[in-house]
Amino acid sequence: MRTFLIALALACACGGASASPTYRVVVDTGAAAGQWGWLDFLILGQAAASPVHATLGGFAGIDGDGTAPLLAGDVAVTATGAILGNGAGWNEYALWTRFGGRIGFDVLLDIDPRAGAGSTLEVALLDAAGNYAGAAGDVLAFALLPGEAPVLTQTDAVTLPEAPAPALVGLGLALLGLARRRRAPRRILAGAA
Amino acid sequence: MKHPQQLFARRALAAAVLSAAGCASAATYYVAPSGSDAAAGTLAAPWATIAHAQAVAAPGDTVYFRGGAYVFHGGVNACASMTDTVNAVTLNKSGQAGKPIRYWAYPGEKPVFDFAQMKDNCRVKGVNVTGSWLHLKGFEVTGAPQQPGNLLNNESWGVWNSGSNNTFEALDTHHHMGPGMFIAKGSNNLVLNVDSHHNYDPYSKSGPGQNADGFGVHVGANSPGNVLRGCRAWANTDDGYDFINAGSAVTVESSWAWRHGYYPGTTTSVPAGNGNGFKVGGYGGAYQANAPQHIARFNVAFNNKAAGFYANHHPAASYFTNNTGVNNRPDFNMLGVDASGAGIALGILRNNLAWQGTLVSNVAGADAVNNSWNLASVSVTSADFQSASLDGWDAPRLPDGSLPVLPNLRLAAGSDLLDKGVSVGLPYEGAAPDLGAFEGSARVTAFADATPAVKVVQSGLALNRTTQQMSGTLSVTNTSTTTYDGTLMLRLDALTDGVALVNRSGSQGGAPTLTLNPAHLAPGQTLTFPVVFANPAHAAIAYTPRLFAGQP
Repeated sequence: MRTFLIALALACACGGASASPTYRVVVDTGAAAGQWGWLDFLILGQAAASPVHATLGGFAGIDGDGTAPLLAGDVAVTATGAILGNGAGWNEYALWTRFGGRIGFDVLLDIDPRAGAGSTLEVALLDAAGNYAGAAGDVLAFALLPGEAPVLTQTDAVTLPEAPAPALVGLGLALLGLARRRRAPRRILAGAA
Repeated sequence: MKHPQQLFARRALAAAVLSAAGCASAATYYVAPSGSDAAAGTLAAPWATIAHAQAVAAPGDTVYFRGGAYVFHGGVNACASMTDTVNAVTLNKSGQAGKPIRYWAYPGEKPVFDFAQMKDNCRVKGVNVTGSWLHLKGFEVTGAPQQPGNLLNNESWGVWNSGSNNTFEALDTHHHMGPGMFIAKGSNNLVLNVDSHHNYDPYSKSGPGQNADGFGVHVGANSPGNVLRGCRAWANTDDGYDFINAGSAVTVESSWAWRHGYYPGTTTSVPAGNGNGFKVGGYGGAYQANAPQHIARFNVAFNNKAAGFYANHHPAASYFTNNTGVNNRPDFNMLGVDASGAGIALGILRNNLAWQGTLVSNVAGADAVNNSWNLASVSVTSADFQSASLDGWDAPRLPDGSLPVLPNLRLAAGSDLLDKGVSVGLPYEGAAPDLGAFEGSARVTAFADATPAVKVVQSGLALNRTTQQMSGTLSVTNTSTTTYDGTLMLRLDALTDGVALVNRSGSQGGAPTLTLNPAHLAPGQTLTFPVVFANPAHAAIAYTPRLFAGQP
């Protein structure tokens, strides 16, 4: 498997603030063709982490059977996807789909610039039992540190063809406010862990 | 085929079961300086007072105290006279065997009980413990006062106990106008890893400074099982450890005492302060039948104004085993008393080490063998030690509260004090026990805390779904002008319960460590440590990273 490191400056084409980089992601799931499984998004929270939110939307190529998305931890469902934060130890959003085709989605990252530990948004293809499907690990990971550009690690199955439409960016920003309001009490609880 | 969410849920359930195992039905409550007793006592809505916490807590419960100052301005009772006693905190509700009530500092935080503002014009007990099966852990306790102009009393007390089966752990009790830790009554109390220092009673009727011991244990007869372990006493105006008038045997072990009998922080003698490191017994010079045999072992006393280890006219031979005395006056004084009231030498001394100052007095006639002063085959010099330093003994404790690991007064390889002791039924290395408080000659690295000199960056964590381990990095950048060469040790303090550092190099004081040796960290340079965690409960991982530099 070939892995690339790509800095934000190469991937973000929306002209937004560096704290809110956006990406259009396409994952070729051909390596797991014929399997059913999850397109999985995961952020492992640390108590000292600076707040991070990933607005996920613009999904295309999801071939589901009506199974509801998997939700865990700091996640809020939106009309077009979800907003995933790092407010709990295990924060996850996953969509059930048949693999084989190309799946596209948008990611808008909001990274609080205040000092704190980093977070990593992981994207993986998983089988029904939660094991990797068609790959030995994540297909894509965004390593996030406050005040720094995200660092992407991806496999050959991932391409980043274009930035999302401005409309999505606006929607994401609007939803961020909602997520932060919902998140406030959760952050207190997370501190108890 | 199982529904896919069922498979995920099964894993989540397993994690939850692991997390909940052993919790039973015991409750956990929280107290914070900014809390309210009208609140729920939760982490998000803590109570304000220990009194309210005690009123609610039941045996088996745990009360966590958040960090910060809990300032007391008066006692829970009023002074009925100038010779009365008031209590700022009274813990009179008992736990049960196997179900203690725990009053613990919140992990990684330091609650401070400060009594210095109290103006009650009589004696003060800062923390008055009369209940049993209680466990106090992690508090700083300071400032139990006497009042100027009231010379009708002797000491006040920092922590005073009359209960049994209590544990006092990792307390820092200091700057009281009287003893820091006082066991007046009770059996089977454990004083573990407690520091007591800078205590001075300037307004005692018996003389300024005469009653401020670090630790006092003065229980009556039929009060067995009181133990002090891993404690430190320093800069108290009277004695470090005082067991005068104790009618039952007391054990003090693996504890240190230095600079007693002086005004705190000075080397100016307090005339009324006795100045012994370990005063092991006695009844004011009088004979008392059936006096207990106390036990003092693996302790260190140095630079005390009077004796390092003192029998204090005790009528029975106490056990002094594997203690180190350096530069006391004398290091060991075994003055006892016989039934006629005459002074005699009393003590059972094995494997002790005396160096510098006056080595011994009143040992002729005591049962003393295989000690450094009565073995013709050994001589004690600075070369016998990895370090002969008498500085740095007040270094921060390790994360679990245990004593700092220092090279000071530990025997060096090749020392003629190795294997020169005699077996007393306790574990030892080599052919025979060594002399002094520290067994063995394994090299101990002196570490200095370099955390303030570096910037630490914690990366995010990524999950390996095959191993279920979570990995990331810790990067340390030297922001100082100092170059660190030698050993660098990164320690993860207060790591979340249930989380393990899989790739640790070792541990120190219960905290996992990552060690680089040799290491070089120049100004501006960054070193990156990989970290791999096992976290079956999927907790939000928390820890405090600290960097220590070992001397090359």
